[in-house]
Amino acid sequence: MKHLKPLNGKAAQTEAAARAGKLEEVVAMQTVAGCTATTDPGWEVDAFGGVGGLCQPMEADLYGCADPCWWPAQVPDVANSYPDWTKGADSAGRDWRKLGPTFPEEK
Amino acid sequence: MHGEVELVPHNLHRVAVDGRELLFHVPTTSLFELDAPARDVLDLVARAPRSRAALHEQLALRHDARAIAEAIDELAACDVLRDPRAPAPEPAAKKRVTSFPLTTVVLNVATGCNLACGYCFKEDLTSVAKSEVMDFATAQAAIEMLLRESPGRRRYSVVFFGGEPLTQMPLLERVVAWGEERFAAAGARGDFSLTTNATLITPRIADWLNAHNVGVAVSIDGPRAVHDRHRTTRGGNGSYGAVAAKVRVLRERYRARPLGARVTLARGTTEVGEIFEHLSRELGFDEVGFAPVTAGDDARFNLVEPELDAVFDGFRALGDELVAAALRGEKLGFSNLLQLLSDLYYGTSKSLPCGAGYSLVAVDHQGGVNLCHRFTGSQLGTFGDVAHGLARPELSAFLERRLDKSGVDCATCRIRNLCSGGCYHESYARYGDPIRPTLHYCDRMRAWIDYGIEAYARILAAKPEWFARTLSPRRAPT
Amino acid sequence: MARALSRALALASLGALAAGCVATGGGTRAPGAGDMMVVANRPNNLHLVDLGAQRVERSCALPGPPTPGVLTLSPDNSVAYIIGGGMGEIWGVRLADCALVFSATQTQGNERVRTLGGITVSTDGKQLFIYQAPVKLFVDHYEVQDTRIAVYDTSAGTHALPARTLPAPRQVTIMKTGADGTLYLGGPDIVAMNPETGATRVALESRDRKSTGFGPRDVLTVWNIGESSGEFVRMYSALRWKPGAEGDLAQGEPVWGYEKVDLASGKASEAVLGPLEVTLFTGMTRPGRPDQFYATLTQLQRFDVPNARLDRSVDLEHSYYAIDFGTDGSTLYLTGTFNDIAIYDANSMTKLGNIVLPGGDMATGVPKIFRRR
Repeated sequence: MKHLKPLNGKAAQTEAAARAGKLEEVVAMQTVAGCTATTDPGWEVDAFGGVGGLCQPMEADLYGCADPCWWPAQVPDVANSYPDWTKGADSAGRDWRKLGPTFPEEK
Repeated sequence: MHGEVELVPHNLHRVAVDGRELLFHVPTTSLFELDAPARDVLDLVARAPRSRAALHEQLALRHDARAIAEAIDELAACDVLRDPRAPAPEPAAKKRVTSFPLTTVVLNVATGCNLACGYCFKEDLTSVAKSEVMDFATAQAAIEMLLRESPGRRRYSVVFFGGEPLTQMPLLERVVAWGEERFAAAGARGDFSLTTNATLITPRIADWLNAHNVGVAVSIDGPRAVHDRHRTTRGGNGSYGAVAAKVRVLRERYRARPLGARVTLARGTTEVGEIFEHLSRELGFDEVGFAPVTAGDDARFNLVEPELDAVFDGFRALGDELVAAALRGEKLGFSNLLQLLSDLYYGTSKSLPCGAGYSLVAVDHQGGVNLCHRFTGSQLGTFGDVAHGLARPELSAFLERRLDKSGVDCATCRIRNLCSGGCYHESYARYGDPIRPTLHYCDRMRAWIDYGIEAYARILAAKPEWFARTLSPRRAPT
Repeated sequence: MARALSRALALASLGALAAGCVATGGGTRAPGAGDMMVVANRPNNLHLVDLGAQRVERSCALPGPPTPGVLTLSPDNSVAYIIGGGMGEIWGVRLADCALVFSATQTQGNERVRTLGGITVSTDGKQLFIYQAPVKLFVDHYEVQDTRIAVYDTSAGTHALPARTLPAPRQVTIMKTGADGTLYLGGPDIVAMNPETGATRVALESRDRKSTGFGPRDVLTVWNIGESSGEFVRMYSALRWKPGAEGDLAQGEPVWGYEKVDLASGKASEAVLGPLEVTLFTGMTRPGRPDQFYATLTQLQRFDVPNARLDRSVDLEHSYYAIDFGTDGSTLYLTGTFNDIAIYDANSMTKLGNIVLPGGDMATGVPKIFRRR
């Protein structure tokens, strides 16, 4: 941030979170969306700034990236918290519509 | 965000320090410094909601359009500014307490005390002769309960309390000897500490405390005239003579950890500076912490309003000395401000006022589990026992009621994440209800935290390295 | 003439390669004849595929999800050891009858363990090595533990516990075993480890190297391919600085390279392959043809290694993560992502067909190809 200068460690964390939180416009797509800070094939833009370098079709990349937590922010955590998220949707290309959003559980 | 913006007043608090404009972000305990565009935007919106266009128009002569737009966006990102027509945020789901990361058990080893301080909050206080003492088996069971309820930690704390814990030296020595081995067997370290009136200190006891790294806090109220006002024997005589002599024995032999003094400021006692001077300079305490009595069930001891003002004035004056010392690279052992600076430095944001019933419980001599040491022997009742463990549903219910700040003044108070409604026992003593937040000195607490922010900002500007150096050793590791 | 010379050099260095015949292209053998592939896909399948007949010979049911699906074979190719169950389980499946002859749950007590891709066996098949990333979970916090290699006795049966552990550097994804038993760990650098003593040395410096002329290397691999070519292999990308403009990102030329260890000799080598025009995930040397390096993602590319240039590129029908060669190097197989294995002729780079697996996506599952006895 340019106009709010962090004076304690917490403020530095808040600043980083606020920067990410500005993407709330993208929240409209609630299942899988968005790109991580990596130059390997992401989802919105490839390493060259275009879309030709993304995996084709994008569903080909879905499980390969979700399973090992490649995009921890874009899909539910299937390694620990939601291991059954893809159950019944064995083929991403055919079954992606079956994938639903997840919600924090009421404990 | 297009259109209008309005202030979200309960999410921010502004403090001006030496010409700098600071923003205290309440939800996160973040502290920011505002530059001129951010400050000017806030000044305008604080008076009334404005459209972005109006803000640009009114500030066009002072700042360029990009700076104004960025400042608005950044303040909005922190939820300090909001679009009044945006849908209200979903009310946060009720907070649930389902796990208890217990780290500390307070053992009420005896209800008896050899003094009879007028203001003592212990409901079950007795003479030494009538003291109900904890047996070794109960102390063991309490530590086993701690390990069972919260396995796998690297550090645990055991605190000895009373009455006067030093009346039970054989028990303390046995518990520490056994406890050290028991914790080591669990792959952890045990940290022992106690609060004492110091009258029973002997050279041997001082050496033992030192050898086993036991943390020591001495309850002492200041120089003789102050101390003897309320800290009297059963016969009504002042205890200063005995206490000061024993403190000197302790000071000579005990270097293991910082030696702390705990001062109770009751009716008639407001000379904060003089007390600090005496305890730190003449008696050699490393730190002095002050506890104002405002909510005792015996109203004779409560500080009256003008006295409370004097106490906080005294805190601020002592605080100024602490800041001056910090600028010299030194530490002044004023615990109250050190704790507040620590909270600001680490950005402590608390939904609960303390760890009572959550990370800390007190065990009475019968093995009953209490919220904390102030509640042992009180009418509030227990939450389990050492044999059967924590009564989790009851503890959850209690804490969840306190966590639910809806409809309470605390919900919008700017210090809600530092004070969090105050001490349960103060609430209980004053209102008969531990859940009801203590509201009788809110204004003074808010002003005190403003002072803490100013002190923080001053030290940060001149000696930023002081914080890590001085505060980290005080922070309890998990 | 340069071509003839390089080909002669290529032929001369064949001796060290474990794989079969010299590939001069075409040959009389039908593509894949005699080769078998093991590969896993969703929901919980482990398939044994007859590559010559281009069909699935046997499908075994795994006890749980085949994720991440990285696997290794016993030296006699009779048992497949696979990392499954969301990176937490190891299953050993006997290919002849699908029996579960080995299993291990890595998480024990409050220590949760995951493995991304590091699994290999000893040369005598008696020990199984798994690279583990553990974390201890407490009520209100967690503590990341040091990474390590867990060594299992392959005869321990099901619900096995490690026989011993060896400290290992962090950020290792793939592992392979050299002919002399040395373990090769692919991490920030390629590290060689003596599995008996745990002693390590850097076999090939990668991230830590200080290279002139190039920017830092970036490596992505969780695929332990390379059996047919007898190599531990991975690709890297880097910027080649324009002479006179060292460090100038705008003028740097992105290139692909490879880093490998010859498993028979233990010799590490690396080379720039050619320009980075497309993203590639896995690549390996063509068995019998060290002058040729093939790689895949959404294109299949062949690099001319001695001349460090891209030789040929074909677009694929969809992205495939993993490339593997048949044992004689004449045919290559593209796997991963969806559920079809694409078969290509190595010389012409034309598609020979697909083998469609029953079930769903292979995702990050790794293929293993061996010659059926």
